[in-house]
Amino acid sequence: MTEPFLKIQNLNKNYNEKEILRNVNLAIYPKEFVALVGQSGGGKSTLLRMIAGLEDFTSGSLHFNSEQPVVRVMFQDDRLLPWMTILDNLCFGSRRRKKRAQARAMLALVGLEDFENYYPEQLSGGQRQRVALGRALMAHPQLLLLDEPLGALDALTRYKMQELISKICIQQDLTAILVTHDVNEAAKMADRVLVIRDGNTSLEEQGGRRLDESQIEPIAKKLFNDIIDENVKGSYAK
Amino acid sequence: MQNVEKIGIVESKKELPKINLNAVVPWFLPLSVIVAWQSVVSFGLLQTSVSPISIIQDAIKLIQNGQLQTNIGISLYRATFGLLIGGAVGLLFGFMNGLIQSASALFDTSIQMLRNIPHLSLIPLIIIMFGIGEPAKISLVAIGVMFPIYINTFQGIRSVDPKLIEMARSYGLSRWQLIRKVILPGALPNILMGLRYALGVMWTTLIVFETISSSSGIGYMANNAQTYMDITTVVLCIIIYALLGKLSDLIVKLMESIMLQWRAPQGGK
Repeated sequence: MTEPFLKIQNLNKNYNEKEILRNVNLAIYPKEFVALVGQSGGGKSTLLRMIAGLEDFTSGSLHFNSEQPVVRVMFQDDRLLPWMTILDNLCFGSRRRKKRAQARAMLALVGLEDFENYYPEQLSGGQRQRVALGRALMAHPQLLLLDEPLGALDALTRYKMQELISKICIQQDLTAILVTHDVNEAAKMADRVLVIRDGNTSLEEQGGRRLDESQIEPIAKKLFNDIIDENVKGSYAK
Repeated sequence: MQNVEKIGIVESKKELPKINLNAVVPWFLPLSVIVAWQSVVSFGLLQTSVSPISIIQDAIKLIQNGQLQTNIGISLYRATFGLLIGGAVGLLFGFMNGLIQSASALFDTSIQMLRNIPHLSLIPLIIIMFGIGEPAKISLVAIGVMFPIYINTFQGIRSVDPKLIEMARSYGLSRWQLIRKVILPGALPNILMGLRYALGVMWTTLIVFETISSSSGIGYMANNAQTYMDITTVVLCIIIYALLGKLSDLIVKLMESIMLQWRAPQGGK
């Protein structure tokens, strides 16, 4: 059996004596796309930030199957540097030689080859997120972390971005974790969907990334039922 | 026939040279004042001999005997050195306190206390310490410009978007790369704003010091002229200060247009 690329065991996170995550156990395997879904404030972004090394955990363990794993995060807001051109933003944080040539190829991949000398302010929200995706991919990450990257986009742009991210992840055999509150997005893009409820990831559903499109909707419905609280469900029924 | 006339009018409009109103409008008021002032004096409506033409004649005379360029040169030397020294100290403390929490805890309160002392009130103390020579004038200019540059540098660094810093950290940037690629460019608009304000303080400080105790410089020229009731030279000195102030402002604007071109990019979306 393949070794997991990332193994999380008994992970706990407390904030001001409040339990944010409790006893999380999780294994992420190479080349798989995992989505974390749950209600707002459920701790899914916190878990992602701890994987990215941006936040400490209270107890437990988090191990990568690599000494210095290359992990890149794509945030909900694009976080492009406004004083850099699009090409320079793509080269940001990249130590590779010939990075400008690689950045141009990356711009073509995300469909922005004509915008290399533009500044972020000159691009639309969707275009900026495509640059942010390209910047994250520049380092050939072993793990791509997507922290609700499409949350602020309109429906059409969001759909196009879902397609683009899915296509690139399959083409490049990327291992990725997506945090989202959109069950349809999770069902469509992921191989595996982990539901975070009460600070834990005990519920797991199969995602529809490699399934037929007709099979995605039932998965999304099931996820919705997994996420929603019993008392809220009750109030809908009334 | 009507159509032919209309076409004729359109064609004649096309031939008119285009005037860039934005370039002309700022000069309208000063030029109007100069013309009005000259007219009032020329027609004897004002009992004074000081007019734009007499000021130009006075300037030519002072250039011919070398006084004007010598005194402007001395004032520029004092202003530049004071700005360089005060600016460097302001930047140094601004960066140190902005980047290092312990440095901020140690120095910021003291600097804020000193900042609230009107620096011109230090003139008697500076004269006692340094006399009326060059070090005294340069020191006072340096003290004056240091605080606006410090405050704006400190504020600029502290107000860099923490999300960008977090993004840079997640990309594994070293502390030096973080400062060079994120913090410094992020703080630059504030630093340049501080520089612009500091230049105003620089000229004010120099005028006051040169007027109170000096034997050279534009301030001295004005004070000396006042002793001999030479109002034309006094007004000439005031105009020179205005022009030097405008020149300083233009230099900072030019720096902003080069360094901050990303703030007003053309096209896109």
